[in-house]
Amino acid sequence: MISRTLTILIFLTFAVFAQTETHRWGEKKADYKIPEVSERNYLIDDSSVMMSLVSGFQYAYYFLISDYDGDNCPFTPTCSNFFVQSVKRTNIFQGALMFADRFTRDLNFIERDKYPRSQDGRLIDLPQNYELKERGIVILPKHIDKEKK
Amino acid sequence: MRFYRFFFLLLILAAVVRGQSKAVNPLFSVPNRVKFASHLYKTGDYIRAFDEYRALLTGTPDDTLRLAAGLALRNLGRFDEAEDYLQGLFFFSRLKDYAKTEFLKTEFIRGNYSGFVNLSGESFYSPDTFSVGIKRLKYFTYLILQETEITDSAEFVSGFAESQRRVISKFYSVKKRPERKDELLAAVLSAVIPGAGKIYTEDYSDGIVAFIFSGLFYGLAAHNFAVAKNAKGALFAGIGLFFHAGSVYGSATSAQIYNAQKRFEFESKLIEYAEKEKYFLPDTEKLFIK
Repeated sequence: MISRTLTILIFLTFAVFAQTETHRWGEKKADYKIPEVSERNYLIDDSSVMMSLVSGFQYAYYFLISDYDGDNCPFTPTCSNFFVQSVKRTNIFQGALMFADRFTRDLNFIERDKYPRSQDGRLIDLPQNYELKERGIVILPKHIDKEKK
Repeated sequence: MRFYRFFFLLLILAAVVRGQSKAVNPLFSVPNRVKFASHLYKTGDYIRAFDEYRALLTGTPDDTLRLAAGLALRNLGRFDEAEDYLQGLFFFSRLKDYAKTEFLKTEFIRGNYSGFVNLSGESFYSPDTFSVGIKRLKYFTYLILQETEITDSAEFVSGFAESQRRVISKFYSVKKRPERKDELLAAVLSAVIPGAGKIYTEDYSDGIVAFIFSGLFYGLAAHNFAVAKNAKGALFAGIGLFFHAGSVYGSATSAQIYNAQKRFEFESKLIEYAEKEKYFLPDTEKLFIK
C-alpha cells in the first residue's frame, strides 16, 4: 500500500512539476537593458553645509512622505531629486525657487504633452532648463517612445 | 611514343586554354564593384558602400572612389574621417575643387558654422568654380549664427537665385525680428498676478495652476488673519509667498524656454531648407555616384 502510494506520488510530482515542451521551446523576449538601480542612498551629502542640509531634507521627505506615497511622481528627475540637483547646480535660493516652480507644474495635470517622454513614460524635465541660462537649455524631441515606432 | 607525346601536349594545351582563370570572374571586376558600391550608396547603405569603396581603393587608387568614400562617411556622421578622405584630394587631383567644396559642406553639416564661415573666407577653400554657391551657403549660415549681424534685406537676398529669394526673404525677416518673449516682462506680470507671466509665455495651464495654487494659500492666510489666527495666517501667507516667488521665477524661465524652442524650430527649418537646396552647391553625389 505504501509503495503504491509512493509510486503514485512520484508519478504525480513528475506530472505536475515536469517542464513542458512549450515552456522550454516557446518564444522568449530577451531584454538586454541593464536594470536601473533605483535604490535610495541615505548617506548625507557632506560636500558643503548647505548640501548636508538639503540632502537631510530630502531623506526626511523620502522617509516621511515618498516611501508611503509610492513611486508616483510623473517627472524624471522626481521633484525631490530636482530640488537637490537644482541646489547643487545653482544655490539654495535659486534651487528653492526652481523647486517651487516645479512643484506648481507638477500639479498641472491638464497639459503634460509639452514635456518629452522618457522610455518608461515619465516626463523629462531637466533642472538645467530652469537656471536662467538660455544657452544651457536642452530641447529634446517630444515623445521619444512614439518616435521610435 | 610520338602519339603519347602528342597526346600529352594536347592535354596541357587544353588545360591552359580551357582552365578556369582567377582573374576573369566578371562578378568581382572593378566596374562591377563600383556599380555595386554606387547601388549601396543610393539605397542608403552607407556602411557597406564605404566598405566597398575602401576595398576598391586598396587595389585601384581613384579620385572619384576616394570622393565617394568621403561622402559615404559623411552620411554616416563620421565627419573627421570623411574630411580626411576629402583632404587627400586637395592637391594634384582633378577633383580638388569638388573635394574642397565638399569639405566646406561637411563643416556646415556637422554644425561647425563658425568654422565653415572662416574657411569659406579663405581663397584656398573657395575655388572660383563654386564661389557663388559657397557665398550663398555662407550668407545662409549667417541666418543660423546668433551673434552675426546681417546686412540689409535687399543686399542679403540678392545673393541668392531668383527661385530661392522668396523663402530666404522670409527667413531673413524671422532672423531680424525673432518671435521672442521678454523674460523681465514675464516675471513682472507674475509678480503682479501669480501665473500671469506664464499666460504671457503661452504656458496657459501652468499659469492657471500657479494662480489657483498661490491664490488658495493667500486666501487661507487672509481668512485666518480675519479670524485673528495670526500664526496660521502667517504660515499660509509664507507658503503662498513661496509659490508666488516660484511662479515669478518660473515665468522668466518659461520665457527663456519659449525663446529657445522658437530658435530651435527656426534652425531646424533652415537646415531642412539647406538640405533641400543641396546646400546651394553642385550635387556631387549625383555627378559622381552613378
